[in-house]
Amino acid sequence: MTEFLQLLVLGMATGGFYTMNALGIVVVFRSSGIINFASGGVAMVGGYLEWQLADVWGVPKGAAVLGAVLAAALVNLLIYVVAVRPLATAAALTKVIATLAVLVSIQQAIVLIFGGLPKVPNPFLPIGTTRIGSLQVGQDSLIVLLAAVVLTGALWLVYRSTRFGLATSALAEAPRSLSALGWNVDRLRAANWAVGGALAGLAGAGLGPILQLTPGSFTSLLIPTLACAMIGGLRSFPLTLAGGMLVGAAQVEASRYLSWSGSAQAVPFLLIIAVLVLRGRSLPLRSYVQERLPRVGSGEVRLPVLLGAVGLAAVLASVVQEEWVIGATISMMTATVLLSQVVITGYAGQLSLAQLTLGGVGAVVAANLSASYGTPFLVSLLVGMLAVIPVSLLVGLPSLRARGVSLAIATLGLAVALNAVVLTNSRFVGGLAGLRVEPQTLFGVGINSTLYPRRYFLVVLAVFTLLALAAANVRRGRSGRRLLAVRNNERAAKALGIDVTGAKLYAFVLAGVIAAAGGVLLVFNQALPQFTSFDPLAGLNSLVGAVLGGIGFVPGAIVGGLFNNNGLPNAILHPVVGDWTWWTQVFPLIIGLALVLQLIANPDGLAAPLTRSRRQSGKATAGSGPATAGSGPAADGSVPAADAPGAAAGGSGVASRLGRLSATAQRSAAEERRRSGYARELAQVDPAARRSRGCALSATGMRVEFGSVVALADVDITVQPGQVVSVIGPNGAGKTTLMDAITGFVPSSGTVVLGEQRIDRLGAHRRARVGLARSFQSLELFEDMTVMDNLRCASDPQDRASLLIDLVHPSRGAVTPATAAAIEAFGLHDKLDRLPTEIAYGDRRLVAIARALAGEPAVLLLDEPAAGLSEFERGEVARMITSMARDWGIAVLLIEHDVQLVRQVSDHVVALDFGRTIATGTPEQVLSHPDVVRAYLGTAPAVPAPLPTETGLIGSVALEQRTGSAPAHTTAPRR
Amino acid sequence: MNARRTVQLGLLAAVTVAGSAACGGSGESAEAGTGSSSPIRVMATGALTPSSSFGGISFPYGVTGVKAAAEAINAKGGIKGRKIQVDTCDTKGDPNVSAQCAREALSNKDIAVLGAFDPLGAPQQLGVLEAAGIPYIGGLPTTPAEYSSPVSFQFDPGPVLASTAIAKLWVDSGCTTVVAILPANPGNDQLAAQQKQQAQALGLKITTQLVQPGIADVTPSLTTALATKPDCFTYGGDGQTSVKYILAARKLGYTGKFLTSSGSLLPQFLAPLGAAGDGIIVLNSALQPTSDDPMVKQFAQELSDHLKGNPGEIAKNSNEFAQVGWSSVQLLKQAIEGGSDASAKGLLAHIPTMCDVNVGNVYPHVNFCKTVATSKSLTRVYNNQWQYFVAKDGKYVPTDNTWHDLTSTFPRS
Repeated sequence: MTEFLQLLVLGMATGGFYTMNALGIVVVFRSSGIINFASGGVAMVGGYLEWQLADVWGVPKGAAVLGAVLAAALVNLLIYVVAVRPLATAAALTKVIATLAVLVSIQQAIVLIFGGLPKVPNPFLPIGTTRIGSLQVGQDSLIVLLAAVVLTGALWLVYRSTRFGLATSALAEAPRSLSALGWNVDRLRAANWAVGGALAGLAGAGLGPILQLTPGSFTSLLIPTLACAMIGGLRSFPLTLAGGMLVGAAQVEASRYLSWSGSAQAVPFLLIIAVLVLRGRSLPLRSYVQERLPRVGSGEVRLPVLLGAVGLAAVLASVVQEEWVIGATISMMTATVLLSQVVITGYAGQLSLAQLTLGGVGAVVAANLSASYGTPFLVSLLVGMLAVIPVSLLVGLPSLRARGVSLAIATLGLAVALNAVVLTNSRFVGGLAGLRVEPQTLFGVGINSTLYPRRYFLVVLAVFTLLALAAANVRRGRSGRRLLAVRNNERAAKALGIDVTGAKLYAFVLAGVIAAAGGVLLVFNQALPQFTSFDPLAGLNSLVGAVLGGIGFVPGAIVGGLFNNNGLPNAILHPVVGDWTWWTQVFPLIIGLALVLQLIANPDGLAAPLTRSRRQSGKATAGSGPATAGSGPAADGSVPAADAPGAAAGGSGVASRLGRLSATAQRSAAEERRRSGYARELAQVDPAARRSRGCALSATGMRVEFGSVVALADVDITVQPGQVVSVIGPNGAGKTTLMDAITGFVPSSGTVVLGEQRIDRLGAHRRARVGLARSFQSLELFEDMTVMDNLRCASDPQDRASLLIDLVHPSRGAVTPATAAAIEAFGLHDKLDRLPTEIAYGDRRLVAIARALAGEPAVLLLDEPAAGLSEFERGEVARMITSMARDWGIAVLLIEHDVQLVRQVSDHVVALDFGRTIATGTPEQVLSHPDVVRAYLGTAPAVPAPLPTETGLIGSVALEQRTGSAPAHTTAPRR
Repeated sequence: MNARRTVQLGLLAAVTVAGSAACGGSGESAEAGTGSSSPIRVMATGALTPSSSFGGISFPYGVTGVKAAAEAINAKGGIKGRKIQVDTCDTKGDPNVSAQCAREALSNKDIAVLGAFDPLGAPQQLGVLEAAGIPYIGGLPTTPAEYSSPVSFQFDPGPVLASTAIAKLWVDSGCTTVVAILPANPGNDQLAAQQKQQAQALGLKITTQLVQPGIADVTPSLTTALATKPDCFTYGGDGQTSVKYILAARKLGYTGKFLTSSGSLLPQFLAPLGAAGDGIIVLNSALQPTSDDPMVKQFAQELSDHLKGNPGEIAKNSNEFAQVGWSSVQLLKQAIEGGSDASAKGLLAHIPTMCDVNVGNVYPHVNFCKTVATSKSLTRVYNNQWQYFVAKDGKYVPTDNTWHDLTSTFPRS
């Protein structure tokens, strides 16, 4: 017991070190929403500078520490100004990669300036031992722990009580609101980066004498530091401190009491997973701010180009010098691993940092099979790929409760655990002697990479090509649409009946299998299989390659593969550069800075412009803003004509003008082809053939509680087919919560019956599948997809077979009669090939309703469909709502602030306030009900106003005054 | 071409150029040949630039030793009138680059790879060298592949044997209760088990621990270890972590001995330790460069000549890595002068017939005609003799100037 307690105390002291480092990361995250991987580098700057000032130049310790802290603050501020601020509109992932690039640069700068040997700063804290009963702990460690506690308390107070702190708390989520309140958002962020840098610098200066200084000192703290920041939800200072204690103690106790290999590294991350399960959400809240992700390619494959490229590569491989072939093999194997990142992060939007390690797991399985049983190469490859499926599912599990950076840290943690438990475990990797694998053959032909590097290249080329085709096929097929839908908006995806859980796990499995193929290829390229190159930090580097190449594009994987130091570019230029040693020394520094520049220049990756669709060319020519007719896209991933020589933007010569003309001509032709394709598809479908499946919706006793707050209290509502029932009430009345409860988006009690079927025990996507469709107040269209694909998402059959069939034969999806009818009803023909961001706001609202209709719903729940529309558009919406009910036989439940619209379309109205029903009846009855008027005005009118028959009434005016919605519209005639 | 595209292409070009420098290798002349006047081409490999695999440290010393010896021999007319041309290749601590280095040796028509220290990439190099039939001579072996490959001829016992040989040093240093910590690298669990077995066979009480490689805070693991009240403590990983353990142990009041192999605490790591380094006992397979032995002095002189008398560089390179590189050239010279063709094939045939080789008195005489011991994974061990040293004022000094044959501690599994 004493030993347990002793270790607990020591572990908590180590946790103090983690906390010191984590506080700076939390401060930066709170203000900018990104994880600053460079924080470890900034801490090193603090540590080394303190040593240089105090121990080399003789500056008094106190002044040296102060100087180090200020310098670190300045460095972090510079990181923000130079590397992060220019990426303001880029994906969070891109920003994270930028900070990683800065970390690489700082580390290398330190190697160049101070060398690799350890520096041992003279301690400025007492170094004796303090005894507490039978327990002992170093005095310096104890002081660091106390400092961590004090700093945590100070930060907690500052960020809770001061204007600066409160503004920062609002910064990551609502910068525009903050700006509207007069805050300079940029300066506020910069200030937080400086504070984060100062904290890192303090950690560096304080921990330097205890941990010693090497270029990797603080990088080795990165993973446990992230773990404790994660436990603090990347926001809470006290919980970060608690996380530090927990992680430190768990590591120490696990290494002492758990006998399984790698337990000390693995246990902290099991803690993270536990925290995620407890604190995560299966669906993001309405307030969840979707992180912007890099752009994705279309997945279109031009077969002649592909065959030509593969054929050319094969021919070149047989004639060029062997070094080039070997370099190309390494690039292509790396590209295979990066391809998995394209699927999981590019297509599915899941930030997985475990892909390379998953590749390693596949490699371990394949190498063991080959070493133990002499299995043929192809069998080892396939089994390695399949064996990784359960592990991929395990890695994917956190994605069901976590998103964005939280998921990234969780997957990084699992990668650490897998590395510790599998990839460095003698039992699996052959111990001291390693795994002896016989030279590989394929169909009786030797493909050993040492003896036959050209043949091995062909094998790697073939495997990559097949997997790249499969990935591109998935992108174009129904399963790809599901992944993109989930990536774009989980709530909207569920509302269309998409199984978000299934889609995420499918993406993890598919990406894991691809990564495993890359891992197997990598390991069979070695004379003696080794698994050190699959470690999680190398995985971070591979993610850098993927982002630089273009994480949303299949060709991006190939470009990313070229960034492998030993890849094709190295092989080609090696004879030219020779042993240019000085260059190799400064290379990581220069490349780190160059990466930042590249990310700023092209945040979507190098492949993005190479595969730029004509959509982007069109935008470049037509100017910004919503596209006009003629500037439509070509989602075919082809090289844009506008990128052709002479067509560069800004060119003024005849060639340039000719190039632009040519580009425009090609673009128009492509648009014309596509539109005529859509027209042909639509012509084959009879909109009148849509099924009429309207049936009654009955919700009784609906109750929703958020903690101690009752958001909805025993509300009943019934909608019959062909009927429009509206729900009104002031803001906060519980209208959208009622819709969320009925559709399964928030946990609730009560009974929901659709027709004869009780559906309240079904998940949201299953309720959608049985006929409950909804729209969202904030539209929640899939912005990476064209309008047509948005509609297809709703009408796609949710079959599982497509998950496999799409790999080889992607189905674009047939246009259903309901989709055709929705297109016709809302007049969307000329917008089908546009992205939602390219059409006017009013049209987007129509698309949102059309999308809900395309799924042939029995009941349609519309959340403020007329918000923000012009008078004319509102009239159109009113007409459509009535038509949906009367002509399509759908039961419509409408939430709307526009009283005139409510009056115009509703058969029945339910008024809510504070989660309770305050009135029901016809529109006239409810809108003049005293409780309703009181709910809006705060008090009942002294004299009830008469109900006008045609135009506005006091209730409606009051309603708009209270809600601040669009001005009263009293002129539209009532139908 | 717009500015953005220019940046992209510029970056690609930068990556390409920079990446190409990763395996920087070229000799003094591009001319290759096997004629009687053409140079004898050999390759020296090592992590010439700081590698993250080695905690940001480079290991160019082996290459320096090879070059120093080759320059001295060339200055005296070469081997049988032929100059030695040293091609170099930077492995960067990356196994893939190591394999490329071996392939480069093949395309250069190098007749041997000399003086390598490649803990991560040696098996990859050997895979290529075996296929190409190129001997791998006189490195600092760190992997079982180097003790078992048919093209590998090692005269330094290396860290793998040191991990069990140290059991005898514990006994000879008067230890009774030992704590031995190793980084949890693949295979080290087996080494730890063998270490424990050897120590117990020699009557010692021993506690072994595997810790996370590159661990930041060593205090918790150390506290657990010191709870057994050892009189001897050993860390068998990298120098940076060794420094941490030693300083932390002293801080925790540990007054016993520190013992390790010199590979785990190179002389340059004694400086950061200051006075805390005094008294550390190390096992080393070569005489220290400061030895009075005439041939060791020759090594020191030739190293100094190669480094043009630069004291800082001389101090940095005066270590076992440079010695093993220098000695590997002596072995090559003796083999060719002793009748081998100056070819890879000739060396592979001739070296196994060299039964009494003096590679420069840095090492004891080595017999390549028969192994001193074999086990399942270590089949070609030609030397397991060690010297004991103690650290004093930032330097290692021999304790008894005796070669200790520690073959009895050879790991049998």
